[in-house]
Amino acid sequence: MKEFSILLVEDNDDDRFLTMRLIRKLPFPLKVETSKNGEEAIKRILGENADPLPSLVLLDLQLPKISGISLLSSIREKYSQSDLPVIVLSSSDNPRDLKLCNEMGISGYLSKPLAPSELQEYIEALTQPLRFSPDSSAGPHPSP
Amino acid sequence: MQSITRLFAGITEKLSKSFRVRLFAGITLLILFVSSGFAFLLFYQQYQAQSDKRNTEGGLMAKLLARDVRLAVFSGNRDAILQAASGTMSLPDVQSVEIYDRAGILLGRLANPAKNDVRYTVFKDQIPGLLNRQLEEPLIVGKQWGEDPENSVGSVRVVVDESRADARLRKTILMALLATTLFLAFGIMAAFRLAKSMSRPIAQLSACATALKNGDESVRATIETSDELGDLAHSFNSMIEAIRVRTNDLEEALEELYQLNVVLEDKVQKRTAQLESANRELESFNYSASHDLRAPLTRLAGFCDALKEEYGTTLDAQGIHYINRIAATGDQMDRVLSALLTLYQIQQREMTPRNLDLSELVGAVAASLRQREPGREVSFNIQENVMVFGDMKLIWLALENLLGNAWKFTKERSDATIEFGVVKQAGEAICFIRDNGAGFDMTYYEKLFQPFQRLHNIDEFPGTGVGLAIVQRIISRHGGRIWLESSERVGTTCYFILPKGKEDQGAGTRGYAQ
Repeated sequence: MKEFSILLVEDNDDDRFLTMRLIRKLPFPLKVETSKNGEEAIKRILGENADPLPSLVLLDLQLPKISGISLLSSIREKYSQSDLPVIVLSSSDNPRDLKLCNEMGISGYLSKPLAPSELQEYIEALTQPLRFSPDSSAGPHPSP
Repeated sequence: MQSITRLFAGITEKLSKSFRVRLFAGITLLILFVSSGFAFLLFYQQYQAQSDKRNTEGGLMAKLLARDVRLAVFSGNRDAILQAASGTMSLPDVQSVEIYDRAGILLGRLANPAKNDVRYTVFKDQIPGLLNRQLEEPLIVGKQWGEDPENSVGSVRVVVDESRADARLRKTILMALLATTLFLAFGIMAAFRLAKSMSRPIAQLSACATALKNGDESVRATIETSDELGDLAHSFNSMIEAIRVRTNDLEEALEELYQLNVVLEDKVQKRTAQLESANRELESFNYSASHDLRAPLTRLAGFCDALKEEYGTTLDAQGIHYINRIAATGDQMDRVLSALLTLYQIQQREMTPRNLDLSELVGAVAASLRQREPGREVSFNIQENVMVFGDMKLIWLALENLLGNAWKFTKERSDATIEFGVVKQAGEAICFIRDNGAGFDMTYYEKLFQPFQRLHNIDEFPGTGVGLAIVQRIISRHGGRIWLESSERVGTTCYFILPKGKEDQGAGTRGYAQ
């Protein structure tokens, strides 16, 4: 089975630290990468070194320069929701932004402070099909 | 007959329509009447005079002839008879002269050739006999000898040709008619001119009035006569002037009013724009403040958790207490920020009002309160079938806050009762929620609906201080009103008015019943 990898896109150092701490406490092996802003995330996911793609993106909407919304829109231009699931992290976001995110395609929405149980549920839901898929070793591929 | 009636109707209509026609017709009729009367009188007098003259002349002629021929008849001298007759014949207009004896036998006759189409008058007289002693007496015109036929020796008969007299009479009639016609013609002309001269100023006044009506205030009646019409024109002109002055005043006042209105409208618009922008700024500040303040709070909570988990074993009880206090304070602030956000969202929400069974909603909120704090004994007394027209989510939120307050402030009573119902007052249905809780001092009523204003100690009755502000905003967004009545240690009643809903249509909210 391929190791479940998470890309955390978060600009605030404290938030990043706290979220990383929570993720590490989850009871399964995870690989965590971080991007401090939209540019880094785009370089990682949409750039030359995109492969292997992360299994899940945890995205904070309040990012400097390139906002979470436009980053999500760039991601969805290339990858479908099943290819690259995205979960939005937010303290209290504008209902309009959340509606936009839902329309573009997100797998979920977690409000800060993150509850470890909720994150665990999401990840378990995402790993289930991988675990029982006959082609599980291949893992998700980017669309051509 | 019909055409005559129609003609008469036409004339009547014309007469009734035009003063000028009426005046003209009246004068014409008068002239016609007077002149024809005069003509008739003239003719009658002429005819009478002529007829009298003829009769006198004819009678005299016959009498004279009778006297002249008396001796000749008596003696039977035919030549003398003819001579006397020819004397009479020589008189003008005598057509024929006949002399008869006592037995009526024609003794002599002289006659001009008879003419056709000529009127003749016959004069007869007895020839007086010699025995008549008073022979000279009957020469008085008018006395006939024929009264005593015994004394007459014969009779004379003089036929007079009336053609010349008739011609004269005809001429007189013609003259009279001509004179009448001329008089009439002149009269009509004069009447026409008079009617025109009288009706023209009136028509002019009428035209002026029409022009005035159509808005031309520069018109003036130009009648220079010094009679009543001139006076009328003068009055008319001064009336126009008065109207003009008044209209000007009115227009000036209107213009002033309009200018004031424009200024006012401008002010209102500016003020509205200022208010709107201030409102927008406030709302965006509210939103970003609550959002940006919330992010550090979650971090604070996160670090509190981390501290407790990783260092909980090395801290003593006091240390743990401090951490808990920090976390609780953060939570409190988080709730306040949530309430602020709610306040913002109420203002932003697009309302979709529909019929709601308020009684069922109250029941559902009560159930959720019981579920949250199953240890408390609170009896709810809910009036059934109270219908309002409103937005489900907002009304739910308002009820949560109001019933939450009632629930909260009755916590120190063992016989806690919360009542919901409707009272009718001045045709309005006023909903109320009444509790027998702690109540508050009405002196501070003004502070009630202001956000963050609290009338109780936060440790005694915890809360954000925004709840009633939220409720008030919801009620006022529905166009309703809310007020409270309270008395300390007795309880509080919250009254509110919402748009009325139709009864027995509460199926949509049935799901919220207990």
